[in-house]
Amino acid sequence: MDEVALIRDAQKGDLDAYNRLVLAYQDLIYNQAYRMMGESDSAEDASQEAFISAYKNLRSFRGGSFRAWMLRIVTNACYDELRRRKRRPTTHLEPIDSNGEEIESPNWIVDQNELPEDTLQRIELGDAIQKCLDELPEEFRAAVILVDVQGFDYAEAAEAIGKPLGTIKSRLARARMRMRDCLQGFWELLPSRFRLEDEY
Amino acid sequence: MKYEISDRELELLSAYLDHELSPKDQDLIEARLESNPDLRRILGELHQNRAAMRRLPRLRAPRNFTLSPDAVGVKSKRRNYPVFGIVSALSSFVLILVLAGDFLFQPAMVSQPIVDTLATEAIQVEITGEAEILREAEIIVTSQVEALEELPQAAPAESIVESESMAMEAEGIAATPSVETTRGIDTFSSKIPQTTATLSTQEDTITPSPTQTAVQPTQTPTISIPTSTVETESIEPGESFPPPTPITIDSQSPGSGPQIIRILEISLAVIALGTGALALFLRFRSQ
Repeated sequence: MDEVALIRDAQKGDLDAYNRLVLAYQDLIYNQAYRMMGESDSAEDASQEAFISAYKNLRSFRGGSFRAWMLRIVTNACYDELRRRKRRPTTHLEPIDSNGEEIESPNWIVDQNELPEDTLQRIELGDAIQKCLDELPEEFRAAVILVDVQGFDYAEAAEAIGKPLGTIKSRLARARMRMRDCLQGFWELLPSRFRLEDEY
Repeated sequence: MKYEISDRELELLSAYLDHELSPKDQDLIEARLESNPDLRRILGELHQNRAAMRRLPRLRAPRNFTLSPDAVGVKSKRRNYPVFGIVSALSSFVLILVLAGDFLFQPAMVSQPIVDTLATEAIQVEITGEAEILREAEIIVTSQVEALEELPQAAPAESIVESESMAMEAEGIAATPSVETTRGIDTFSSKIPQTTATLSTQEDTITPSPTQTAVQPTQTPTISIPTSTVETESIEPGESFPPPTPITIDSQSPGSGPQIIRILEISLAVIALGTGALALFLRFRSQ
């Protein structure tokens, strides 16, 4: 697939050429949206909105990494939705304690009488990580998803977020520290075979 | 006691994990790691978390996110230029066939004008030749008329006879002996006394023959050329023969076959060029 030719044709209004780009990038965009939003329905909406917005603003793409440009659009779409949710809080599915914090879901409740293997059966690593991601601020979340989940380098992550390299380094370091604190209790539940070597 | 890591150390540690440090910073953090086991432990936990996140399953998009024209407010453009392109191609093809047929079957029709031209030239030559003869005859007649006028009155018969014979020669026509020649002379010479006599209205006057008028206007031959478009002229004495007018023979009458073919060729060419240009214009506009 000649991406440059497709982009050029799409910028001229060729919808078929643009849809070929959509098919090439939709998995990547959906993954980013899903990790940002934490659930599939919102991720679908954010992805669709991102592709529509990208088509309408295609002429603003001046070259460089088209992948990073698309990721920026979907990240901004997720930011908008997350902020909209904060302004209009939805009904919590989990009960709230006296401090106004959500009571831990049953999945997170450690049953002292339950064997770790049994607990592990109930708790999946992916859900745990996603839970911790959901608790991060949006700016930190985007950085750690781009580098640690999607595997981008610092430069491309900076282009996707639209921030300087130093900002990305700072946000990533702080996000990782929060993820460490969030997942620390989970790791303690895992048998040693699930843990990595302490030595780096 | 829980180790409190600084922001600077945390950034160095995080960048060290991704090999994004300058050589100077790398040496710095490595030195600290060697001397600080807490720092090493934190580094290990960061590494473990990053590895776990990298192992997360890559989710597939639950559906295609391709856009429809309605979704982006794009009206589906009816592409008309293929139709015009096809029409142009067909017109060009038919035009080529007509041109080929015209070229192959044209010699039979092309020769007719040439034949007509040759006939025209032959007629012109003939007319010119006859005109020359007539001109010479006119000159001769004129000169003879002048000569006759100078001759004495006593011998009118001879002059009449001479003028008659000359007229006949000038005409180039085999003279039918309607002219009384020697008989007229004998009658005259026998009747005229030796003494001076004047002609009077006596019986022994010469009986004029139909052709014995002094100078009779010679009947100008009329040249009629049996072609429909050649003008015939009658030449009167004293008139100079007009130069031969060019004769044009128009063998192509309105509505003939070759004209129709020309019109057809021009029409096809116009259609082919017009629709081809329109197809190109619509195609570039749609892009």
